[in-house]
Amino acid sequence: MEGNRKGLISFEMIYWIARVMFLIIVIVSIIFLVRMYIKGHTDTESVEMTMMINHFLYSPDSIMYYDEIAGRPMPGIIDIDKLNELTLDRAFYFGEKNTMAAAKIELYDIKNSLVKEAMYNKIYYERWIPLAGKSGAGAVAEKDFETLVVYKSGKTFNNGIMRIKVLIPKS
Amino acid sequence: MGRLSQKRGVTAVETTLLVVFEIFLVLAVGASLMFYVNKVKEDTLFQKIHHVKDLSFLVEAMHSVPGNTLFFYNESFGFKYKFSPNRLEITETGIALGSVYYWLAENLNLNFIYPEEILGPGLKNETDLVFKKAQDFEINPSDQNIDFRICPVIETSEETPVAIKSDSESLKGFLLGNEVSVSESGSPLIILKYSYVEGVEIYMPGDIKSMKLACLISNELKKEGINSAILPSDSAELKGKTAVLIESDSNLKIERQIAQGVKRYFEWKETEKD
Repeated sequence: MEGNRKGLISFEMIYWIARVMFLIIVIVSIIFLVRMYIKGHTDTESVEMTMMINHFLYSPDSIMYYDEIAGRPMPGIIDIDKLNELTLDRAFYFGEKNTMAAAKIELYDIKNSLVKEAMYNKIYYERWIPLAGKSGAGAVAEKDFETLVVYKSGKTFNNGIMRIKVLIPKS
Repeated sequence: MGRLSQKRGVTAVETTLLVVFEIFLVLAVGASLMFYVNKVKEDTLFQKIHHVKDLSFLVEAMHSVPGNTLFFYNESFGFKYKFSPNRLEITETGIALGSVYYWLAENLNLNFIYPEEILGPGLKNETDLVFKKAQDFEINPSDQNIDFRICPVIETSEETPVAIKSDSESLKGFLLGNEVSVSESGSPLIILKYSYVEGVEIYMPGDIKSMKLACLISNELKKEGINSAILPSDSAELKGKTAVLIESDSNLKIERQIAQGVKRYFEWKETEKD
């Protein structure tokens, strides 16, 4: 009789271990299912890069030509005198240490010869360019944009091509 | 026989206690999971992250617009917003921790007015955030982050003398110096009282013209770095009139700016915006 009681007790203990393990699996599954639907991070690099390109092209305080006589900026016309680092850095200022974005703007003439280039946040552009287009932590998202523009050089207006490369770190 | 002897090894009390314990365990686990799910449901972290990025991108988009812009953002969720140079921080009202921030791109070449609560009817919604970008807005260059009110747009360029009740004669002198005529039976009515208040308090009855006058006076004071509060009043002195009652300490600079505000009230045509 005592042997049967000991057997019963040990059976109960094994049964309890199985029960507790099953309970843990259920709890973990519910928590996992709930957390699967929680999203704390939004990937907005693409939107930011597009906005930055639009800012360079259309903001009157960026590289766009401002007609004094008409009294308004002219979208699509680039003032070559404004295409420099100082103008770009002031037009899109993220503070003294800018770890948000970097860009390179190249202006070509219609024969595809480089007329002028300028960088926004030059220090970080040169640091990030080797990481551009890679995947994983620490990588940098890049976006290339090309458009036909008219640029004002001196008193003349010329057709040209503008190429913009924007880099934004993923982390 | 073997089975009967096994059953004798476990009493009814033990079995019952075991069942009660199992029920308790089920309830405890169920309750804690429900509590966890509820906590996740009420969490506002994602809301704040979405909101802060939305506002940040809105500011950047406004910088890109080739012209002056005024934008009413009517999706505020009752959070507290703090705009500081290059940074927007969102905190839940009443909770010190859990703030979320994101970077703001600043355009150093133009004036950008970050939002504050707007005042009065005629504008969209009192709880909207209002962003303003202006190239030709007059601003004190030494104080770039000054907040101005956006005043009601209403025609007030009629030439009538102003009525004043003041504890001193200097306000009348400043008004006459700004080519604003003064008369006992004029409109609007400006009442200036000296009292020991911090800053300036401007009381007005609530009609739109008084609101505009109070707003313009407040903005002129702000240009000199003087903060002012605009408060509604149902005082008999102001009732039924276009009037403001200003309480401040005795200060010539305040009186000069009040006169400037009154001058703008008469000069400002409906086509212009402040």
